Amino acid sequence: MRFDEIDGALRQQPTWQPPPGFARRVARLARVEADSPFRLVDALTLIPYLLRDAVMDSAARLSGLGWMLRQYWLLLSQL
Amino acid sequence: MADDERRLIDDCLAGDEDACTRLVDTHARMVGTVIWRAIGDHRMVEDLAQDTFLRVFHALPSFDRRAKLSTWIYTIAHRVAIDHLRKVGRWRQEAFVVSSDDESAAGIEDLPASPLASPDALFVRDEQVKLVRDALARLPDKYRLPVMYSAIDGLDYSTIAVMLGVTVGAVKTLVFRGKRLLKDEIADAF
Repeated sequence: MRFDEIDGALRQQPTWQPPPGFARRVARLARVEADSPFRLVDALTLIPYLLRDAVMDSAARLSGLGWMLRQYWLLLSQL
Repeated sequence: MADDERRLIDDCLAGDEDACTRLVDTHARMVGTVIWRAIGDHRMVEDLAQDTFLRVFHALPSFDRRAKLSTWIYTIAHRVAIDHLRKVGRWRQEAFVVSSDDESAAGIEDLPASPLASPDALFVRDEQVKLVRDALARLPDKYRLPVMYSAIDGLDYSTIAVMLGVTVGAVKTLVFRGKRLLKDEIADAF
């Protein structure tokens, strides 16, 4: 295989596309984490995203969901 | 730094959720791609990209505005990916150090300033793509990551150098040496 063919093959590796709503969800999560004192209304707005993750979930995503639920519980416990 | 970027950072620091969303929107594709190339597991990319941006927002107050925001964010993405590889026991090397073998690699001056493939090379067959992907997985991380990153559109050698914490010359050397090893790996597969 020639070097230019290797370069071509490397460039055909896929790029990642964020899922719809990704940026808004992350921004909201960051704000919830940064807020002090914790604001219940912000935490509640995360519920649809958690449900969406739960619906779309597969075994591989459970750890991520578990992490989010843990964060959520920690935040709620500050109330 | 451009005024727009400065304003975006100020708005994010002031807690403006729309500004934070814009920042994530602007960089999410590249952050996810860097992570995907580094870890090779598509299923973990979304969680790690989210983790990257949470770290970005957490560290934003201490961001040095003389630096380029995108480079700083991609560096955090790279570190999140390395942390993940370390956590799952797949991190096989300790530093991107150029060895004497790498230094003696002849032909490095032929590398383009910006890594671009020739138009003909864009029409490689699917089996060649798979061959390269399999061979890449067998490369030491020291070479695999620079080679992977250099093939991402929009990542130049100077950005990769900051991400890896080495000089531009070292990145060129590691990419060149990595491609030679890749070529040897593929030849050995037959």
